[in-house]
Amino acid sequence: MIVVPEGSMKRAFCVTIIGLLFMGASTAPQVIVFYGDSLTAGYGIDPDAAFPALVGKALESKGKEVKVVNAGLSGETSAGGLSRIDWVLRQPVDIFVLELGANDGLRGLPIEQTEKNLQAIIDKVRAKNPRVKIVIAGMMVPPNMGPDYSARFQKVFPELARRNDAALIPFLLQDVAGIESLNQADGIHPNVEGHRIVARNVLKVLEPLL
Amino acid sequence: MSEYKTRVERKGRSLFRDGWVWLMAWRDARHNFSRLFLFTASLVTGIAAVVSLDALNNTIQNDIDANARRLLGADIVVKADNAIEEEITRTVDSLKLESMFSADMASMVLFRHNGQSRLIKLIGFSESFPLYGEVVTVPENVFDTIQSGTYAMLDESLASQYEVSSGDTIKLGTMDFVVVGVVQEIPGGGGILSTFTPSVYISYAALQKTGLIQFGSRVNYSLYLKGDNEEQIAASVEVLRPLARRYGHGIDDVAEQKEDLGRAFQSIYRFFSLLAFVALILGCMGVASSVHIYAREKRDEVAVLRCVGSSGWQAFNIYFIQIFLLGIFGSLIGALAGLGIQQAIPLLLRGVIPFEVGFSISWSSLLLGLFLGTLVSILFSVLPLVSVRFVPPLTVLRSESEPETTFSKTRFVVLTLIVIFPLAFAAFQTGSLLTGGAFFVGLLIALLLLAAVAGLLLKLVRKYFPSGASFIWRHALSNLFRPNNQTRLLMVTIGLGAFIISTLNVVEESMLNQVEFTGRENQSNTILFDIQPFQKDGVVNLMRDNGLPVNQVVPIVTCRLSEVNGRTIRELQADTTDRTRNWALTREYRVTYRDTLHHSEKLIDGEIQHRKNARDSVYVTISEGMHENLNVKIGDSLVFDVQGVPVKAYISGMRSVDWPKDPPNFIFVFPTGVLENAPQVYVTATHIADQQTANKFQRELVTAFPNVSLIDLRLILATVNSLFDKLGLLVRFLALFSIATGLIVLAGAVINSKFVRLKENVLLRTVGARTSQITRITLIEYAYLGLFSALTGMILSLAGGWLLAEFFFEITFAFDFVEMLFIAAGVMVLTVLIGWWNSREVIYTPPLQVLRKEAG
Amino acid sequence: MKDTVLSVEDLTKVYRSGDKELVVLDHVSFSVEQGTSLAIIGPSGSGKTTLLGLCAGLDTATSGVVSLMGYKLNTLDEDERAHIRNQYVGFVFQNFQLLSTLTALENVMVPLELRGERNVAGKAKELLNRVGLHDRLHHYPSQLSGGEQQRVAMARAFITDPKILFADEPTGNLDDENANHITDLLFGMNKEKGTTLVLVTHNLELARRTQLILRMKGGRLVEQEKVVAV
Repeated sequence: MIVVPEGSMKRAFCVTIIGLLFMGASTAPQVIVFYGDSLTAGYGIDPDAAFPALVGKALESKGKEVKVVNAGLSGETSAGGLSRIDWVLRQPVDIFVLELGANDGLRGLPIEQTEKNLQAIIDKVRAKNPRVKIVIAGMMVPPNMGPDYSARFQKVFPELARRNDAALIPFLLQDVAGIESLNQADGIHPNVEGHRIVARNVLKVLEPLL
Repeated sequence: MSEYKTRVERKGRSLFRDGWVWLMAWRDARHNFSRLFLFTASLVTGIAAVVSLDALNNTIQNDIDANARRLLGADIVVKADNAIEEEITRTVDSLKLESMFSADMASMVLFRHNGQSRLIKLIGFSESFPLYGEVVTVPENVFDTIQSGTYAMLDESLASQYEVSSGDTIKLGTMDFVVVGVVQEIPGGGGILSTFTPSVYISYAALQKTGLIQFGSRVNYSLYLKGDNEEQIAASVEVLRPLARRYGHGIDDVAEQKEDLGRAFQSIYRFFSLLAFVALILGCMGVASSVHIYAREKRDEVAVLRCVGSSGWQAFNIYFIQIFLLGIFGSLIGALAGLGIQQAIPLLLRGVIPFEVGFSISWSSLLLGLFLGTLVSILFSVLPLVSVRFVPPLTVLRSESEPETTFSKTRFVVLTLIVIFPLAFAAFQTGSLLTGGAFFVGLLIALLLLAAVAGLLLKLVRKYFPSGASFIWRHALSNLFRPNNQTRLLMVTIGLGAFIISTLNVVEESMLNQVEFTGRENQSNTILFDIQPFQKDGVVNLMRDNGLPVNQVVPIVTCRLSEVNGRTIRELQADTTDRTRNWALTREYRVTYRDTLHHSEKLIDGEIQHRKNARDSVYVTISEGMHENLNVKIGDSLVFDVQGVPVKAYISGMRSVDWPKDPPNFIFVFPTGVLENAPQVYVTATHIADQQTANKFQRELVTAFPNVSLIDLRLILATVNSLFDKLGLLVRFLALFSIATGLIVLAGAVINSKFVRLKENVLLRTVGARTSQITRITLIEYAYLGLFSALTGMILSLAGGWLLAEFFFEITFAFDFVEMLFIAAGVMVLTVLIGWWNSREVIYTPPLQVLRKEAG
Repeated sequence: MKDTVLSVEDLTKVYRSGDKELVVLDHVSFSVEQGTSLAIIGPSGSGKTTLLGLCAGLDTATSGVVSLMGYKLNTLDEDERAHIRNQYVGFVFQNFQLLSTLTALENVMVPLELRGERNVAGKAKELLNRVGLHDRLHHYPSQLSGGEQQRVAMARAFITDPKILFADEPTGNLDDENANHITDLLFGMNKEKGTTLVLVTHNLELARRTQLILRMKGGRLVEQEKVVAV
């Protein structure tokens, strides 16, 4: 379902959106929306080298017809994601990969809030396309944030996946986090090599859904 | 009579062996020191200004040296993001450096007494911190307690926000710590930074046990090192720098710290140097003009001396000795006065710079003052004084006798030195030959331009002055055009005074204007960002409930460029001939939308961002400067990728943006009606007056809108405000010095022309002019002179001030029209006053007395 | 046979003002012998003051020769001429020309001090005594009357025992009583010390007390008149 924007200024986008719809209808590849923060956006590297693009290429090479939409935004928190979701949902979505929450964790935001926001995002996606397949990327905060916070934080993602019947990537940065050679100088963002491993982590969960 | 003697055997005597000239110098001066008042006054004020400024600069420099260590907390600091490698610690040991270390990381603290938790910076120190300086705590001297177990200390702001008191328990990682007090100041950490992420301090040993340091933890390690002496430190830095670099660590040393601190004060240094230069140049002019007057007064006496057989040099020496000795005396007084002032300045600056400015007496400044003063009094008095050598003895018979020769090697040498002196001084003062040269050339150009503008003004006045004006007005004006009446010279001299004073004013105005916005009552000091659209009203209401002003609520949309003028970013990147900056093409842009200009913006070209209706194209504005980076101009098209949705826009205009003024400010501004539905966050700013309100508001905000971030700029703004309040006071105070010296030059210039005026007035009197008429003519003449001079100076100072502000201080040019008017009026009134005061004799002297004197 | 103290040959002085030339002295020649007295008279602008200035080496001639005590003044520079003045010449001026910042005594001492002599106060006091100013030694010129100032000037002129004394209207600014006093002093000392006296004046009565009168007109010497001593 497409929500036709109200108000004159919104009409400007109709052409674009109808165009997208038309394209979607003619070639009918599956649209995978990667919705996340700097990890998705490929902070510090070429967006073509970020894991969403790598996943797309990997699937295409296996003959799968997919269209990857990178809707990552650096510094995005779960609250930011919630207010931006309507905009992103103007396009059709078949598979929705939710990769948010890391910035909440690094800023020590209350965990209940993060969980609530992520749930709200999932609800909106479902409302738009009840048949959408949802993938949740599990996140962790570095141990220095304290065991209490870390433990409660990393529980959020499996819990959400269970409740929403979604696929779960147990930990997006598995085999990448904390390894100097796979991260950029800031120690947080994976480098090109790191993104390849992240893409593998994602593919493992995503491929069976197609 | 056929044999003549054509040579005279004559013993020349040097200045020091000719006791008579010393005796005469004393006899001549003993009751007449007041005649050299102008000279002494110029010298004293000029030197006092130079010395106080130099001493202040020295003191600050010394204190920077002394404080650099305290601010760094060590001689050398190695910063790493992993535990310091053994090779480094081994090297440190072999270098025989004293060492200690710390580890810090972001973590969560749980306050047991109220169950709240918060993100903090957790720092663990090894024993014996700090190596330099001290940790200021409440209660006093409890910092070492943290080494004795599971004790913690908190930043004061954190403790007050969460109402933590000594004895409360906090949880860090898996362990509980007892709070023993708060930290107010700590070496290596500015008080300002702590408000962004407040710190909690524990021992390194305790930190190890919290379980927070594990694989994957993001921890920063610092190794603090202390040496015995400068050589050892310098040598150690040489060894450690490549080692640290090899491991990818950072390294800071005291020398760098000093440089950083010094750089922060550079603008102030420069302004002080400029003031000192100006004061000295004015002082030199004062010296030269007062000695010129003095030499003129002494003409008759010199002629008599020549008559009874003194040589030209002997006559010169008599007055030179007086001026030389008085010069030393004046320099000493000036230097002492300067030091006195310098002692008072730190009282003004106390608390606004991050360390105490000491009360040490700067002996080098004292010596500099003495040396400069003596040099100036010699250099600038010799030129006018040398004319006494050429006073023709015939003057005793005919007072109007002209000297036969005026050229001498002495004059030439002195003139050369006089040209070199300001250049050398400026170079010395600014520490660079280039800047010094620029100062000097600036002064030269200013003088030339002053002469040109003065000439032009006179020409215009002469041409357009109403011929129907009354006799007095016309006569006063025509006085200005009398031959040999030095009008142009006076205009240049007084104009230079006005020029300097108003240029200082313009520069000061610009400097103050640079931070003026911080001084405003309602200036935002707290910025809230990441407000989601659905939270906007709630946050605004919360601010209103707390009685806080809502200064700006702006939506921010994040987007990227996808096309510039029909070419995709990829194409542009691939095109090596393209001049567009890569970073400008690929960066994320945070834009806003509105149909008006913010008060920090000015439209300098084209039209404001607009969109007439839904069918119209989207017109955006770009900030000045960015158009060069993107290589675009008005009318060019851009395609923005607004998170997956392309939006085509055209550039309609360019804004100049005063970036620090009332942030946030934007590179691109969209019109309304385009981005309303795009993903956006809001930023708002407010002014919070006191800490209590701040604490309450922050607590409520965190509870209701946890994702909203808040930056508290109050401490920074308070520091900047008070710094500039006090600096402003200081600058005005020091500018007074220059003004005082300028007035002395003015008085000298007026007295200089007195002799020419004398005859004219007597003639007017003999043909029946009344005293009141002569008074009025004199007053009006000086009013003209003051007005024209002020105009000359002002016109140039606007240009000069702009150049200085733009290129020397690198700040935005600003001037206060009213203040300029005041300065112009001041110069006029002072010229009239000084002119009248020094012409009283001329006005009120009975004509016969003058005529007799002339006839004699 | 007496020595010639001052001789003037073909002395010409021309002032240039723009394109115009003004001939102030036109080929003047005369000479003065040791111990004699001479008056130069003539109307204003006749060139008499210029002549005096040239004779005393205060100015330089356009052409011609002035020789003073055997020195050819044209060839000497300003400082050398000053030296000659100090050694051989005394001056008395119409408006006294005392140094205002010096006391009467100090004014008198200056010429001797310039020679480098010390302990000259005694001689200066003696001379001031001689001119009747023993109670005015430490007064400044501004505290003295015109007549007193001129007497100080006389004392200053005579302290060096000059060979020749130039006087420019010495009584011009004085009342009759003071004028007579000064005149007496002038001629008295002229006789007493054998000083040659060269006088410029309008005052014929004064001129008649000299031995020789030179009458000037339009820059020329129009008449030399020997005065028979009364």
